[in-house]
Amino acid sequence: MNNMDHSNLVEASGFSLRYGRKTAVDDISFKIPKGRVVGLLGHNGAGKTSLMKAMVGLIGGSGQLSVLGLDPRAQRNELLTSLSYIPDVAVLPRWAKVEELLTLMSGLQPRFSAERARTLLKRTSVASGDKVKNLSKGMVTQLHLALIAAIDTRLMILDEPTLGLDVMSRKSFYEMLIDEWCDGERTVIISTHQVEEIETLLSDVMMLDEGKLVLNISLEEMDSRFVALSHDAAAADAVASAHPLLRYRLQGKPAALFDGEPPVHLQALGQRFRPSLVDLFMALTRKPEMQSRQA
Amino acid sequence: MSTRFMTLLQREWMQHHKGWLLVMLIPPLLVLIGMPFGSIQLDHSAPPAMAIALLALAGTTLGVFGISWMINMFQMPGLARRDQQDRTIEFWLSLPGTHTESIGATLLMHAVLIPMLALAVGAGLGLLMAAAAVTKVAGLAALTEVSWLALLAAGVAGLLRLALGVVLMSLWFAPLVLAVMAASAWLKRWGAPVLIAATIIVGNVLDKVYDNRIVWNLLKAQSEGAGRAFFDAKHQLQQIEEKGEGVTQFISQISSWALQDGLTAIANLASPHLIGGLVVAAACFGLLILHRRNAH
Repeated sequence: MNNMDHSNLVEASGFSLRYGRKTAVDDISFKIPKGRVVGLLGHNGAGKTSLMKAMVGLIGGSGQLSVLGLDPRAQRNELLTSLSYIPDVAVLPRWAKVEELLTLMSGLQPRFSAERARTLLKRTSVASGDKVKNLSKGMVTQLHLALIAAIDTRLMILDEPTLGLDVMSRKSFYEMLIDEWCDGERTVIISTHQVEEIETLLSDVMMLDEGKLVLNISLEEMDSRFVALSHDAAAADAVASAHPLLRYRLQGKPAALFDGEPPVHLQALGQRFRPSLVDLFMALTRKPEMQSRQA
Repeated sequence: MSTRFMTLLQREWMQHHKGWLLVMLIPPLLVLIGMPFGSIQLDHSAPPAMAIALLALAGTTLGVFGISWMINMFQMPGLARRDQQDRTIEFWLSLPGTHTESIGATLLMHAVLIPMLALAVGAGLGLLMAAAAVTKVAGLAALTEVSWLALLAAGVAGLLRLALGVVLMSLWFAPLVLAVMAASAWLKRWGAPVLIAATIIVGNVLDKVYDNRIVWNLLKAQSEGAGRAFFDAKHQLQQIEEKGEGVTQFISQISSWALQDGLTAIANLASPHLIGGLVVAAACFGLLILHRRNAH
């Protein structure tokens, strides 16, 4: 841990995590500096939740992992006072009133501001006298975000925070997150399946596939590195021979996604466009055997 | 005590206070409400008003405490998995705090502080019950025959002795309670039945086959220790009562009895049974922490 660069909020080097014989996170290395909105993407079982749990010290692994300059496993209690975290299956206590949760958070989390939480709650339809059990799922999620966004920290970790919510609730959640918490200095790490919805929010993306970090890149780099080409069906064979990362259809037309510039002779056969994060996600995490079958 | 630990105690109160208060208040209030319509049967001639008041006070205090304590003990195994069952464990684990603090706050609140509150509530309602019982048996005028100040002084002394008793009794019962909790945490709903069945089987096998009564002797030592820790450690109160010196004399001796009895109960802590039990309790506490660490 000592040779980690503490200017990064999160830093991993050769970090692995195993459950018995199953490897959940496989020898990954990355750095997350301040002021970023990082999307952690991956299929079910890719290792996203395991990695996030390791980041907050709930499970340990091998290799090096430093969060806010601390060892998450050994200094978990100290770490939890300095970061905000919504776990994937977090359920707020149904017996509690909102005001009681503010009281509990004030006593348990030294950096929590009840006043700030009340201000954030004014953006929602949740009242301080409401009981959690009487709130809708969307309202509970908004309440949870208001609670953890009222903690004065530099790092927020959100594990599938909008899972099971309708589109309106998801949109409200991310609006509140960006408007009220992200200030250019703080970093958020969000794991989600709803890739298309958060694409516009992200500054960086990390993709996990079967525990391996297959992509760790900023959105700017992504735009310059990956190129998609929309082409006619007649050019399909020529495109396939150039071994694109992914061949798919976009608005009825065949398209191909390349890591880097497509060969010059192909560029004349089609039209370049910016690939979406979903397409890139599919390209990098779909099983090769499945891809060949689809193609 | 740290702010965090106090907050964890407050959390227990927020979550369970309605049930606790209902258990403490409903039985004595039902008796109070029903008293004008019922009758109190006495075998012999009516006892002095002071004796009626003392009996009502002591009976209500111990009654409220007993009901509350039994219900709390009955709930203890379930507390081991409470946060997993209501799926809030991930929320609690996302906040600062050690597992020791979380489990410790639950145990302290349910096993010690709430039983002590039950004693206080029982004593408060006991005074009302005493006035109602005296009025019912001997008429309104008999209220003036009761030396309320002396009764109050004896009541406070007795209450302090019982409060100390709750703490000491909890130490004696700690291995049993924590063993059931640890079994429930690891084996879920089968935990308590499996532990009880295993204890009975092992105890009987050792007793009947090997003529070794160690299991029964240990259980007896723990329960007798708990009983002595809670109340009348040297049966002195019983001796005072048997002297038959009259109620006023009896009441006047309660304060000195409470002090002596409390000191005796504390001295009884120097027991290998208690220390052995606390080692078992600590091991079971460790199992609870281990289970909570993995509960995500």
